Amino acid sequence: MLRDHVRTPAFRRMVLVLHVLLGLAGTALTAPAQAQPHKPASVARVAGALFTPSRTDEGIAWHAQWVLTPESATEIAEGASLELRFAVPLADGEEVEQKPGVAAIVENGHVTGIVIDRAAGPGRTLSAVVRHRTSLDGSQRYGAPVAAGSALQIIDGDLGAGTRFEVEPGRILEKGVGHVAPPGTSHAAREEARRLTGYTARVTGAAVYVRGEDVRVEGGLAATVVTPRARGHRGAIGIAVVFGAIVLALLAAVRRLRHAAGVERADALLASELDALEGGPR
Amino acid sequence: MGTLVTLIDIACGRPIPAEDSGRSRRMQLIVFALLASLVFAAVWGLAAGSRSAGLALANVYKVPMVVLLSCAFAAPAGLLAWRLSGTRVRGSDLALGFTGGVFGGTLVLAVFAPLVALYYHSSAWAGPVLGLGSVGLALLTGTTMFVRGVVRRLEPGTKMRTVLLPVAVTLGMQLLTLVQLASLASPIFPERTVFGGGIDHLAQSSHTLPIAPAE
Repeated sequence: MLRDHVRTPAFRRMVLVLHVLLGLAGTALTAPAQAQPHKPASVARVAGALFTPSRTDEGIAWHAQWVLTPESATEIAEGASLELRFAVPLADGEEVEQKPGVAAIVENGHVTGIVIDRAAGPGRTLSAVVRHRTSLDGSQRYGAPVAAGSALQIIDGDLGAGTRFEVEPGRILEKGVGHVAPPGTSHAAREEARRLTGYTARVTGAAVYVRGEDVRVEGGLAATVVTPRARGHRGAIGIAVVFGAIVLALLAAVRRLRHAAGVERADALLASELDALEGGPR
Repeated sequence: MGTLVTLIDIACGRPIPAEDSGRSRRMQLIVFALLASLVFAAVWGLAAGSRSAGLALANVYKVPMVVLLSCAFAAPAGLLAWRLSGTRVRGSDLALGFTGGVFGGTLVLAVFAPLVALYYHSSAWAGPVLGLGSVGLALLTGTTMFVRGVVRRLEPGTKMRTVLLPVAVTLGMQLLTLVQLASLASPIFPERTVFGGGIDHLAQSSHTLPIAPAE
């Protein structure tokens, strides 16, 4: 009897309608989960960053360590993907090295930032390497991927063995004792930037403290690679001139003093001879 | 030769003979001491760089330059300290003591020069050690001769501490200028030394603030 009911067209229509209704209900229930990845990623906020260069066969590898704010780090830990925007897009010849959890954002053919997710690793510190193909001759763009925003970030220009990047201060930076920083940056602010990133303070002048906003306004930073020998050569000519002048002055003094000293010496010897003849000084 | 012997006597702290105590003669001795120091320094420079002809020739200019300019840059501070301290020691006595010390120090360098050259050519590690060691010994000898020369020529009744101020200022200034001039003249040795990077390098190795990164 049941078999007879199943075979009726009315029952078949009812089953079809039920199937369509169930399908619609299922779509409605799953819709929010499927929409999540299509939502534009929110922006990761950076509390500090440290960029250290190392020489490679092709130029410079910038080892970037961005320290996220606790809120951004929590969002990523909970599964969100966040965008970390650079102050200025990377130039030609600069690229972000592939690594899990970090994907480059390419706009108009240039990398303008990275998208980060949980696979990038736990904690607040996010690291990546930016490779900069360059010849290291003359003034060039500073390839450190400074994050956008107002957080104070550190670019260590030390390339080892006394060779270092010397940044051109421009309008946004001023040289301090052993560092370069935006005007008005307090010691406490630098200390906080160092504390966040674990940067070891060194008295070299190679540490550059920058804010992403300033770098954006300036359109990037320029720097020159300076070797100890090149630094020494700057003053070498002046020193050679001073040295030559002093030696000439000494030689002139020898000629000038020869006669006067000879007369003095002869007088002194004569006086002592006279004293001896007279039976010693009275 | 007589002048050289007189200079060695002065450097050793012996009293200046009456015939050499005139103003012009003292000035002449000071100038001679400096010029002789340049020759001694050049001899040592030649030995220290003898492993490469280019370095040896460059050292003939560089080492005397370091010595002479360190004296020239230190002297004004020493003279000012001498004036301000109000000591009763004669300015020419102070200058003679200073140049006597430089003369003695560079003489030590020159005496060590053959040994430095020999070890640089026959040993991988003893050459640089001897080179740096001879510099340290020269500095010690020069300082001792300067202090002793000035102290021995003090007039009776003059307090020793009044003369120690200009001596200390002169020595301090010379040491500070030596460090930077040596770095500017680098390389003097074929190897990279701790003094090659100047005060930056010295400060970097001594002044570090390790801080734990944010977790």
